[in-house]
Amino acid sequence: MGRYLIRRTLFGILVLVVITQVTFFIFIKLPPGDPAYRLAGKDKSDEVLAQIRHNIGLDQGYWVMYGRFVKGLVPWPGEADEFLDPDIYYSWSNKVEVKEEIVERLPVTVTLTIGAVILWLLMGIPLGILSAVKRRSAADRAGMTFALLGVSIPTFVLGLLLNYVFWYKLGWAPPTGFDLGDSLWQSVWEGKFLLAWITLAVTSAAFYTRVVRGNMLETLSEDYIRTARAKGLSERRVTYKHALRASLTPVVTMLGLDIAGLLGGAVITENIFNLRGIGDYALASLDLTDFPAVMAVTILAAFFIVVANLIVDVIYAALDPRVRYA
Amino acid sequence: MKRYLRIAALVAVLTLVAAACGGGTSTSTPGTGPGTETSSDIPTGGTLKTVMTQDFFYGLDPTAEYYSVSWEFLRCCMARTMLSYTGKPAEEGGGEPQPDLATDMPTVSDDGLVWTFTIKDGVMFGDPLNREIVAEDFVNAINRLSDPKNNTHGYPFYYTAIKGFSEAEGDQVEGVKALDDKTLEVTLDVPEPDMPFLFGMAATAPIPTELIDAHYKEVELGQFLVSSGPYQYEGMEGLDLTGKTPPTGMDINKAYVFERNPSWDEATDDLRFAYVDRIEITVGGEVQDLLDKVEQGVVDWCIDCGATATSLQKYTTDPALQDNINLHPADALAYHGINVFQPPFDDVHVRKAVNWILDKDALWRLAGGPPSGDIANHFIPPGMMGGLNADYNPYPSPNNQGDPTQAAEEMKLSAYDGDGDGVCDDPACDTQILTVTGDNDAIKSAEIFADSVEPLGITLKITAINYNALVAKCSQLQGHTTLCAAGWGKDYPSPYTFFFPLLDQGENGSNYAFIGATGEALAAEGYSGFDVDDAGIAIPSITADIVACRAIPIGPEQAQCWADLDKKVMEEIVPVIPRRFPNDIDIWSDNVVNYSYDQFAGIGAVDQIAVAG
Repeated sequence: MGRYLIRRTLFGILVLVVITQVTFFIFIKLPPGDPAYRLAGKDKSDEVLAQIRHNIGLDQGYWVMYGRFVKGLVPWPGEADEFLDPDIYYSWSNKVEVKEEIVERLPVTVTLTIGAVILWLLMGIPLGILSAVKRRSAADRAGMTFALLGVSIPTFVLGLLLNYVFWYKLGWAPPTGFDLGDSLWQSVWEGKFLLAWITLAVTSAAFYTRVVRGNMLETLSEDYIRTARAKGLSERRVTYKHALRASLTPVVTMLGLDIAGLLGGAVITENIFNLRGIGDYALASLDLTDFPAVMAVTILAAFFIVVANLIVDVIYAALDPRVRYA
Repeated sequence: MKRYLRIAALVAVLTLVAAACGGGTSTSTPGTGPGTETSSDIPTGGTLKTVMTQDFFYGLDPTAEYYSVSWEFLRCCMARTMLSYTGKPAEEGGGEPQPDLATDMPTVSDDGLVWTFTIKDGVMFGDPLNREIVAEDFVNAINRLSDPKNNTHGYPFYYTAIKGFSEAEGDQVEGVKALDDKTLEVTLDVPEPDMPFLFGMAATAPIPTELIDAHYKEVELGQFLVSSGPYQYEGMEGLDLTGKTPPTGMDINKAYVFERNPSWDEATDDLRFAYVDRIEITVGGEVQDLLDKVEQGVVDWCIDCGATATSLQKYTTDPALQDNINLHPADALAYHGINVFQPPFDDVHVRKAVNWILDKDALWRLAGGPPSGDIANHFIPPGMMGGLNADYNPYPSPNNQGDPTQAAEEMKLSAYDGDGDGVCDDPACDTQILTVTGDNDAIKSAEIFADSVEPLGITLKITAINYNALVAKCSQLQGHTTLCAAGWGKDYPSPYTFFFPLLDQGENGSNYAFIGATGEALAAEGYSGFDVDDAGIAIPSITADIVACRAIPIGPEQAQCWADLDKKVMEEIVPVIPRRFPNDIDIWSDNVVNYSYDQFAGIGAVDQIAVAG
């Protein structure tokens, strides 16, 4: 297992390095627009552009620049003793340190993610089980209709719709965004996350419902389930002790990656509900072509995915005795 | 250029509005001037709750900010200047600089090279300094403005006439001297008639030496800005100016809270009202959502939202909301720039033919019709020339839908119409038009443009690229572009801020016509067939005309000079195809009981907004 973890970790690092290269190439080399052009005021003389390139470290060779940005991501002996070196990773616009922004915004994204995950698991798994156990019943059809609608409706439509109905029209939900001076917990308490959680949860819950139902149906037709029934175990015991565990194993994989994806920023949902998390930051930084922020957020999102992949693989093996580390 | 972005955003949000929704403009400026009878009827106190979609660009650093919203907050609240503006629309004198920290307008020597400002008694910096503003504080500002390492976003190029400015690089600018605490003397190398405007810009606002010493760096200084206006950041009282933690009211990227500056004495300020006690700004959000919050009264005003199609329709048609919107002509122009050295547009007759035939009405309706502004038929917004040229239209056509007959006649005169049938028969007429990607309305505009010029035998391939790329390509000779979508807003209320950046100096980053380029620069990029003047500048050039107008003191005579140049540009040089003079739009909640449009910044004058509760 130790060798397996080391190998996977090294592979994960390689993935991250490749992503840094791709991101750097896309944002620094690929667009025909020079970042210095955007940062300059109306005076775009050669002298001013050269000064800007010098100020932000874009006046060197490609690999030197790339190396500088990669080194700045992690502590480096003799250079920086912290992640996201503030001398490199700062907003090209308002000079705010990227790390500072991420540290402030990550709790918002984590809160959004945790709430949404709890909600969609509470919705998706029971509905999936119910649909499978009560196959072809009204409950099954209702569950599948929900799944179809949930999967079909885009997040931005559902989010805007919920906000329109429950805040703008009915006034039941609070307006989007945090109130001035409110802490994260105050905002949670005031229900600022509720519609965002529901928006994220409905689409994912629908998907999970379908997956759990499918897995359950497949498992319930396995020989060992028939054996369990033949031994006289109650249907409840068969369903929840024997079938459910096997059915949920693939869900763990999905869940890990879904959580990792959300931690990288639920861009649309955060934008609709004016939640200033990582996704909102990514969007704003892209809009401003603020490369240091884009690079940091991209790597953060990739890091979550890589780590989640690793964790999921480890858990999967624990849950499924057939899986062995090789 | 950020001002361009604002305009582009405005264009974008207005484009979906059907022409039917516009019933004419509604100007609501109940505010009154200082000392007038009714100003006492306006309630004072309360909190103005505002939102804005995006932050100030450089943390309200007066030297670096180059954005109209930032300029308004500096003007209204935090950074008084020698001269400033009343926060009124142009028709009420809002475009004319007035003495602010100065006792009077500056005196100028006979040769126009020495300008002397006298500072009022009793004008003070706020917390934590609470000391009198002295001439040396202005010297600090000009010195910092001259530092290229610290200021690559601002507008130092306007100040190069000041003696030693270009060489100072942050050190002492030779031409700026504090003769004593109350007297600032500015010596120029060459006459600069726009000095009153230039000393009304935020970059010249006094910066105390204590602040310069502690936080010289760009943006950082703005985070600790010591106010000279009626408001200051919350938490400035007792703040350690040498510390690293900004005041509580300055949370960059997130929120701002301004409270009254205890050292501001209204007796020293003839320009500001400062009705509310407290101003809150929350940063971030989607435009329609923020405007919905305004409508619901959750907040009082969205500072930079403008209007969406939905809100505009609602506010211009619903009697209950019609008093809560202001539409006012901005000092801005939406246009297409023409590269006058690139075939086939190196022929003035082709440029004129395109101006004759363009269906401006279709473009205007696409942009939203009446609420979006007026169709533009020339280069300079009339409001910037005291209304001169307001009815001037060198290329009239029925209903502004284009005149194919006149256009064909013009094309016949062109070298690109060999057989004289009014249709271009040269391969050069198979060219392209550049517009911004991701903006359907910009692309639709380009399609209207292409359809309009097709009868002239000009085939335009629409190329949509991102904004940065468009600016880079259109502003560099090597791009060999022909037509580029563009927008422009003034920096200060003088036509010079249009003519100089857009039609002078050749390749300067904003000049898509490349007028003023040297023959050498053009030849180096493969251009040919042009003549040059004695100075080596390619013809056509308006450099001499600009110099001539600037030699006239600011006033009606200079305005007439600019108006004449406006006509010359449109009739003889034709480097642009004007489309629209856009409107600025503000929407506010029922809680706002007084509003005035500030012509200088192009948004509501924050100091003149009063709230009921």
